[in-house]
Amino acid sequence: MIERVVLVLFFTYLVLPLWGVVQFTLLDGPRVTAAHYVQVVGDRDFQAYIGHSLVLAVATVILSVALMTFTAFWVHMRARWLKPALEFVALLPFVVPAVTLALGLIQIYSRPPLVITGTPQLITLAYVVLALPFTYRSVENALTTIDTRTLSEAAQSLGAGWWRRFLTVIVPNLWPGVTSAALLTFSLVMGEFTLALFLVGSAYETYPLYLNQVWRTDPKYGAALAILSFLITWGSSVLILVLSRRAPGQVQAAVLK
Amino acid sequence: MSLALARGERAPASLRRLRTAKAALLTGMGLAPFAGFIFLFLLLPVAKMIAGAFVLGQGGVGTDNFRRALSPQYLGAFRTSIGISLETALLGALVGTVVAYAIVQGAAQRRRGFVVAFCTVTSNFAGVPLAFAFITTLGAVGWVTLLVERVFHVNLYTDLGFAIYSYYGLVIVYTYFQLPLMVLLAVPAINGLRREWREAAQNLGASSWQYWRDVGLPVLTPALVGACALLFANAFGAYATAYSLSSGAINLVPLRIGTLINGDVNFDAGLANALGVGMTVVIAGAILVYQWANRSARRWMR
Repeated sequence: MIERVVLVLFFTYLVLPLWGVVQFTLLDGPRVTAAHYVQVVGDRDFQAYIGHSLVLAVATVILSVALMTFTAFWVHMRARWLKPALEFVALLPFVVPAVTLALGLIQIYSRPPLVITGTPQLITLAYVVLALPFTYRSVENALTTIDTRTLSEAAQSLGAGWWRRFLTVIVPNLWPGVTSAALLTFSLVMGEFTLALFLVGSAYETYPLYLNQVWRTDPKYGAALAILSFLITWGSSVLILVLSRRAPGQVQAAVLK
Repeated sequence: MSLALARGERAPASLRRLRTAKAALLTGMGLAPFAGFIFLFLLLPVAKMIAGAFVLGQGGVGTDNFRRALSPQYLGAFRTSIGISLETALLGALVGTVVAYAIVQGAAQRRRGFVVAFCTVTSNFAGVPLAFAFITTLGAVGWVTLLVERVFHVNLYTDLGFAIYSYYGLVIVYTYFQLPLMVLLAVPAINGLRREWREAAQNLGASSWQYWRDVGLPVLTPALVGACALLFANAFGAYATAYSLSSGAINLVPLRIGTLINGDVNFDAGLANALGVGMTVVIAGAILVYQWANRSARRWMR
């Protein structure tokens, strides 16, 4: 009984603000309207900026998954003694919040030899750093659940070379871990605000930046965009859960804000 | 692998040494992309920040930036940031543990998946959208504010002096992502409490309270302390939520750093670096607590 009361209060607290935005977008005075959602269709800016965010998200996913899968596997197979070191490095981004990472990156990459602030390339690389702890955890969890050594040796005895073993035997077996890492990274980038603000700003405006700008001038439309952003996060999380139920793996919360 | 090795014969010493050297080189080459990446985009920026904290505006080297970072204004920012993070971490940890216990005890297995999904989503719900959700809910004309006024005839803003962009407003908003995160961290820990322990305690005549005092809580404590430290770090580093909610009205360290590097008038890299170093030290402390607690927690969770 008490348990039920606790849960009801918990959900009420979490649902109230969501309901706040939803009803704000749907009500025009006493009238119910979907106009603020329809507005998205004709909004060129929105389409351009969500395009930017999608490009960054996909690029970050590909880069971080490729880098982390390869490195984690390499350490797992050839240098297991380096595992604690790898884990330590993979957790480092937790210690460096987005503001401080931005602070360091701006000072290095806005003067020669490499001037890349304001470019989508730099922010993609910064996002790979941000996603590192999550990607590492997911890949590492997947690595420990499969018997990489036996799989690899079996493939080797059948004459498969190193790359062939990695790409056609190991990677498919890591797939559940890799997909959850990919989805986590995707939703992380789609909602990331701080690094985007400092590293690209208006030079390559992203969806969260646009959201922040819109709601000051057109609150109803801004709220509709906020709901859309929530749906993206929600969709990714549900997909992760569905996939992780099918195979062992772990669901994590992106704890970087 | 050579035939000689496969047959179990020992290769000459010099050849073996060459082979080990080659293998080590190959291992190193495989690690190079990752190491290079980490160096360029994580270690170098942090090193630059630390070094930059000692570089003075007029040129020269010294600790003047740190002296300025410890002036009342910025010390106040640290106090507010630490206060808000500590309060929301403790609040989140306390309530989150109760909720997690209710979930483990009450919810059927089928519903637990839904609860976890919901917590994952809401703990990731931060930044501009979250600020917006709370403005439409508890803002000056938010629907809950209006509802309270209609039902209780009390205006949260004019009568009680509440504001969503104030310190306690921010506490409420941060708790929104702290609480579900705590639930996600606490559910597996509480799940790890074995039924046998409880049964053994009961067989020995322990009451429910005695079980919790002598078995349940001591086993859970490291995991809960670790989770609390993670929550603290989570709130301490948060920028987007505070930025979009308060537009700098609250004196928080991340917001201070933001103004120092973004503004043309206020641009002061040295001071920003010193504040960044301070922030990193605080968060590193929290993460150390988390690591230590996690290691102690693992002892029981096998």
